[in-house]
Amino acid sequence: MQSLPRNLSDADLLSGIRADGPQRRLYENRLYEKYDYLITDGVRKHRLTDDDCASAYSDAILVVFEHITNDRFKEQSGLKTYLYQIFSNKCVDAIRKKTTNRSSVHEGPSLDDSLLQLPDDVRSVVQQLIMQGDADRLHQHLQRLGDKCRAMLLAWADGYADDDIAQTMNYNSAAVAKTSRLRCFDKLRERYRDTP
Amino acid sequence: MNNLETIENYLTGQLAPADRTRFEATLRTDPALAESLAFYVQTKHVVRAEARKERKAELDALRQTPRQQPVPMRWVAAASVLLLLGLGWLIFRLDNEVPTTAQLTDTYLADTYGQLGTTMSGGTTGTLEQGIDLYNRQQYAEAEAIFTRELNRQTNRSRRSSGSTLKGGLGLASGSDRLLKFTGLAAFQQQKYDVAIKRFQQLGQRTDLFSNPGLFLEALARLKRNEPMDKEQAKKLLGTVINRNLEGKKAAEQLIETL
Repeated sequence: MQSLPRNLSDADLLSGIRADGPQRRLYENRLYEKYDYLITDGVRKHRLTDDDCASAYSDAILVVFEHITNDRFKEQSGLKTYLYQIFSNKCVDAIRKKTTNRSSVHEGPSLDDSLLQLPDDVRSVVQQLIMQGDADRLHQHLQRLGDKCRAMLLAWADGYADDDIAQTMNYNSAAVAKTSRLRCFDKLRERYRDTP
Repeated sequence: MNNLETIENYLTGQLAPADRTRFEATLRTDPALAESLAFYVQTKHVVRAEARKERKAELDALRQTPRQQPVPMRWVAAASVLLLLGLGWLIFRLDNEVPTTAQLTDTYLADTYGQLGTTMSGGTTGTLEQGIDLYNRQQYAEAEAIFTRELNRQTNRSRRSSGSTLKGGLGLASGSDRLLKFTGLAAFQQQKYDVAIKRFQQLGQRTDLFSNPGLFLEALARLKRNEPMDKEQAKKLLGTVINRNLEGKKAAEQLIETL
């Protein structure tokens, strides 16, 4: 995998992250590094510890990655301004978490997004089934699934297409990668079902 | 079609409208399919949270990795100018460097007394030539022993024949000035500066010589020995050499400038 030049413009970073190939991660890393001085700013402005601020910055940058790939970032503001706004919110979340012991309202993707397209009557049934599910047990089975299956599912959940997964994990084609991924899914479901 | 694949195609909008309607109808009547869909959505959520956690750890690690900061061009330019100035100064210094006292002393000694001439005035040529030959082959200890023995022999002979009428009042015979010089030089070459100074002092006290390098050589030996007061003594001696126009005046003028 080739290395990237040190000083990339925001336009280069955006197109690199949107290109969605195996190099996406390198562009993401460059974006992280380009603005990580905001952490020092955050420590000064919000009076947070260095670690808390770095964590808020990582959370913010992950949101920005997601917004770039799903086109929620429309480039109506500069990339730095956009990142800074999210980062400031994450810092406020961190302060709130410290002072009131309440967790962030922006933590992780919501389940509802996937379910919105279901007909209303089906949605409530599925939501109920999800609530009955045991996320912790599922997580434990995921950890024990085997390195290759786990890596494949993680890459998929991280937004990588089957084509990219095929390239990175040496599968012949995207179709083969998809079949393998769904097989891993099945394996996880069997273990989850069979082992209490 | 695989159950999970159909679910995935449905959730990602890849089913044709007719298949989509049929899928939704089945969902209402088939609890197993509804359960599979719930599992798919929940798994995606769990895996995504895990992927996010790992990615966050990777990003945090990036921050811990020391990065090579790009050096701004203005600093590179400034460093280059400083380097050039430094080199220029060094070259200028090398071209115009004034030799140190030690360098001048060594140079003078090597140029003037690196090799001794073999032309002798006097009758004891055999022994002296042997000493000079040893000196010229840098066997200084052996040369010094021969010169000292010859010097003592001449002194004793002179005392016996002349009673108290001795050259310079030191009990030294005519022609022994060379022996004093050679003995001193052989000691000097072995860095036996105390012996060398003593011999050169004896030589310097001789008043019957047309050309006497004693004072100048003593100054050189003192500069090399470099004990307390040696430098001041050497300076005085060099001053005397210059004022009295003695042997070594030219070199003394150079040397005194470095002191």
